[in-house]
Amino acid sequence: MGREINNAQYANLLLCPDCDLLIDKVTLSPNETAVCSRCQAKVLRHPKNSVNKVIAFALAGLLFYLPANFLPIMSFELLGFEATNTMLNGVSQLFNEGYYWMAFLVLMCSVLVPLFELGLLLTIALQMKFNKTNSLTTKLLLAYQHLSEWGMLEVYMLGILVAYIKMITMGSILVDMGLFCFVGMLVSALLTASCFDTQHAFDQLEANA
Amino acid sequence: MNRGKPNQLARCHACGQVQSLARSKQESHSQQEASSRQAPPAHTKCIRCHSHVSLRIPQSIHKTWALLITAAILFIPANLYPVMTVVTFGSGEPATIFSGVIQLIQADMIPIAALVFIASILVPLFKLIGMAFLLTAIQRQWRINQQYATVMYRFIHFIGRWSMLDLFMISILVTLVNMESVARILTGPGATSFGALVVVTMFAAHTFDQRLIWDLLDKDNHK
Repeated sequence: MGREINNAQYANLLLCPDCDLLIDKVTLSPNETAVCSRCQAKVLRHPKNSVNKVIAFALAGLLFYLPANFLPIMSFELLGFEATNTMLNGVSQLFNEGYYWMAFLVLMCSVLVPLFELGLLLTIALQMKFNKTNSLTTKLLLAYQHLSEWGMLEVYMLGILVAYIKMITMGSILVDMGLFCFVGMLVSALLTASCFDTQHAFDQLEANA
Repeated sequence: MNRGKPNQLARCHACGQVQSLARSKQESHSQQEASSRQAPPAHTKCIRCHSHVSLRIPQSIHKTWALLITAAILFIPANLYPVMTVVTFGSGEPATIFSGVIQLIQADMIPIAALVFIASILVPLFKLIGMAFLLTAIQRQWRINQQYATVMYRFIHFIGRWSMLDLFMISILVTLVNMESVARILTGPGATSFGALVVVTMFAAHTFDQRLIWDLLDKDNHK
């Protein structure tokens, strides 16, 4: 195919994703980031020791995952009545009230997508570490890229804070074990995502092939 | 400045691979169609990851307008209908997003009131107005500052997700305040509209091709 041969000469070129500027590819040392000279978009990253860090943080995140989702995050007491909140019973409560679409949205953004993200990144990083990359790795990378925007653990954290402050004056509210696990999961997930760069992973896959 | 589009070079949005969309000479010969050399395919498959590649997101302006108008319509029920109802001893007190903010101010929780106001009202409003401005500027070829417009778009893209705050808060409150006849918090129909609003504006920010902002410069140069 003529197209494939033609494309070899573009291997040392970058295009800014934000402003379409043609940029010569530079070699970055670890932890350096190249930005577009015109619009300051990050065009190239070189996360240092990315694979090992992703494996470590993703494993930590997955360990926190089950307790964060099933242990009570907060409990609220009023006139002898007590109610607890876990991430999943919030979803089931919305579902029982008939708000299926909202239940689905909250389930996706705060429970399912974060799990997929951690699982995908762990699988990809393990495959890269042991040089077992194949066509599936590409598919997993693409799936991660499409999903990553919909994981909203940090927004959920803010939701917990606002709910907590709102309830303080109404009765006695207590934070529970689930909250600490949730914070652990949140921090691990944020670190995992920040150590990982999809484009860098694609470049490495190509270099290894 | 040298850009990708005039050279028929496209960047794969998924893996970042730069590739030429111009048809090779042999290919266009085999098709016996001289004009096809000037008109590259609207989109093709990435040579590395097989995602769709195109110079610009196809029909970006139209898709974004459609989603934006949908969002503007959803904005009305999201703010008029109650998002939750606080039922104490059998009597309900429906609260819209705005009256929820007022209640927080009355309870002297100003910082939280400001936070909810920004996340639930200002952010969606700013997204709607900001995106409409960018789309109009591109369609009318206004002379705008590309740097500022890009920063504005990045900001819109970044803050979109934080509007989900209200929905997460509701999902937490309905389980915490669940004391049978004494006190309950129930979800209201406004919450569904609000959720749809957030999702639709996120899709709108997604289908908008910000390189179109910089394409305005090319047109200036030609004149």
